[in-house]
Amino acid sequence: MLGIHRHNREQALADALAASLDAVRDGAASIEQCLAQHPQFAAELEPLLLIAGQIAVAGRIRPSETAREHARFALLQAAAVKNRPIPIAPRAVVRRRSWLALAPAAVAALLFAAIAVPVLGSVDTNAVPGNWNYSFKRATERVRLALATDSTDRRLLRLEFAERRLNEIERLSSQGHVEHHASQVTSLLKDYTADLNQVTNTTQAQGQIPPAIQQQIEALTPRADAVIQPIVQNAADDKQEVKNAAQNAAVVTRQAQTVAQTLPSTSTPARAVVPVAAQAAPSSASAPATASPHPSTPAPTETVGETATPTPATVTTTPAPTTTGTATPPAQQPAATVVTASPTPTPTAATAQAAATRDVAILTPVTPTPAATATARAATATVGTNDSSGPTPTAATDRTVTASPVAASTARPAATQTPSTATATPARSVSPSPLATRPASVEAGLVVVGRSPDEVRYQWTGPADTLVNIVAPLGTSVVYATYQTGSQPATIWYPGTPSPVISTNQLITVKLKTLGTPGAGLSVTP
Amino acid sequence: MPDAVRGASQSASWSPGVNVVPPTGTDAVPQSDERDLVELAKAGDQAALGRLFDDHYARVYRYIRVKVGMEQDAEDLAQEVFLRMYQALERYQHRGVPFRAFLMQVAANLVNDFYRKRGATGKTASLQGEDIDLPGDEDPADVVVLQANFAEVMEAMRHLTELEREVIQLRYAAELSIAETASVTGKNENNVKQLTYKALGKLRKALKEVDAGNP
Repeated sequence: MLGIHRHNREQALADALAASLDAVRDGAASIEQCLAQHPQFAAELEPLLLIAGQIAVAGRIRPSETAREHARFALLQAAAVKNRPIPIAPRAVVRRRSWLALAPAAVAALLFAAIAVPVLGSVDTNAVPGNWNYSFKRATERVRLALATDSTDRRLLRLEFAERRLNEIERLSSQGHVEHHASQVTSLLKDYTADLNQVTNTTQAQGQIPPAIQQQIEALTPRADAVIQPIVQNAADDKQEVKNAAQNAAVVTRQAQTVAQTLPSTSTPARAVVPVAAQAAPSSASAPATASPHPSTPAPTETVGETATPTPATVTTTPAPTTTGTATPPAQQPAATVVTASPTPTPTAATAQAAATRDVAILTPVTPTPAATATARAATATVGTNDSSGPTPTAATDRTVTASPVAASTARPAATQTPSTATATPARSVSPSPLATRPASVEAGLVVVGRSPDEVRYQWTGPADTLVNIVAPLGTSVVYATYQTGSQPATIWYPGTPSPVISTNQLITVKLKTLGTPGAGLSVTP
Repeated sequence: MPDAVRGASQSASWSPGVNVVPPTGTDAVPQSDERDLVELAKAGDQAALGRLFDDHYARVYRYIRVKVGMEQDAEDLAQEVFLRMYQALERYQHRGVPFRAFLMQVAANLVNDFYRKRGATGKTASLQGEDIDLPGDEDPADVVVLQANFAEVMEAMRHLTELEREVIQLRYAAELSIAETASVTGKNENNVKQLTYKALGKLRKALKEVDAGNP
């Protein structure tokens, strides 16, 4: 009887304590008021409430803004990767007999045996444009690409070819100043960009990166820096085309590096801080990680129960460094963003004078040439595909350009929040990706309205439904950009996704981070 | 604890220099709104996902910080919590489990993994002045008292059972309600109240022993 009474009293005391704690914490009552409400327990409650007050400081611990920003970016990037579009032209759409599916490869193999093999011995991989056997070298590459059916193999080939292009640029440079071979170097840079861009897009779409590709990208990056940066820095002013191509190549290199560093490896799924894509991206259904969700993540309805007993888990908890970890706000003024706006119906070419009179860091656009347009279309057409569109850029362009509006409208999930959505401008969706497009033109409606150490803000006063290309030159990289109208929610754009379509008076905020030596390679004059 | 410092905490309020401090972020978003946000985030709405992050990041960080002590570890783990949350979001159904309780389950499991991998035990959270969210007019001397008292009570938490410690951390760092704490720990609300009562009693006893020079 005494035990029951004691138990009841303890429970009543616990109830009174709980009520008092909540009342004090919520500001509904002071400690004195709580004690007055429970006079029979006042002597016991008071010291406990005071102890609770000491613990309550835990509720005032404040996380650092930098850590918060990094974590937020990592989360939203994971979501962006997850929401990438499904392939435009999935292989399953055209059902063919399996042996028929191999027909193109078989024909290519026969051609290879009949034509290419006899001359293979004479194909020198050191050949550069202008050599008699260079065309054989490139033809061999195309055949090898056609024969490779596995996505990973194809990407590895593209990386190998990208490195070849770098070697060729270097050899041309050693034969004379870059200016002497400007058109050839420009062409090689574009080929390098196209190959690497294809690898990056395909890998991002799959949400995971095979270790071999990861290693090859990591090996390629310093090599690319060594070859490309001198071109950016030393190209003469009248060789703007080669400089632009080099800048684009540098940006794509950074993109590939980011993908290699952030995407989960297919062999070590727990490494990633962006593993979400591997589980949810439709195109990654066959990835191993898809079948093994993290067991330590609780089901929503399950309870932890005895937290003293650790639950079995296979996922490493090492918080892997991410791109967010490197997103330290740059120390120098971020005067290097290239934001070009191209009203797609009739691009207006502005004058150099206009650029000089505005406080825009780099606006070095050029009018799109047929060649640039073709390159851009090819790049756009391959965004989100599974690298099955064929070995030659022209083939990819011809086949898939009509599907581009679909890709563009599905590739920007946040676009539905914006008045100017992709669906509203389907024709304009056939647009070059930011990375594949050379800066096109200086638009009079683009005005810098603010700067901070790690971001630049622009206001677009031009026409509605305008595509905006955002490209950072060497030394900086675009982390993300937001664009919004008035107080409406901002829409986030990430590099590698289709260009945002903006409306009149929208505010574009470009978030930057510094890569390598701050300010290296900046060719900007305010 | 020096008498002067102890004396400062004997006021009728919880924080010297600050009377009642409403918990930051608690119930910042009504449950129904939060459910909408979760559904939008599941559908790929980045703004909704960002809002969920903004509403809960500080809470998750505090909870982890008092569990692991080190600031860098807490930051890394808090980031990982949200990535894992996003992985599991598609499977999340409200069913009476508030989102923040779900989030704390993710955090609790992650911290368990962290300790298992490191083979380490929890360290006392150490706070610097800049770690504490202070009203602009708070006396710096009071901050010192806050820090000293907090460090002492964190040290005393080693006298608690794992479950008691978990309840205290969920209630005061994560600022969960009794019902939410019950949901995370798998106990009923009466259990949580009893555990809180016992934990505070143990802490009081431990601090008295420290005062008496017999830790």
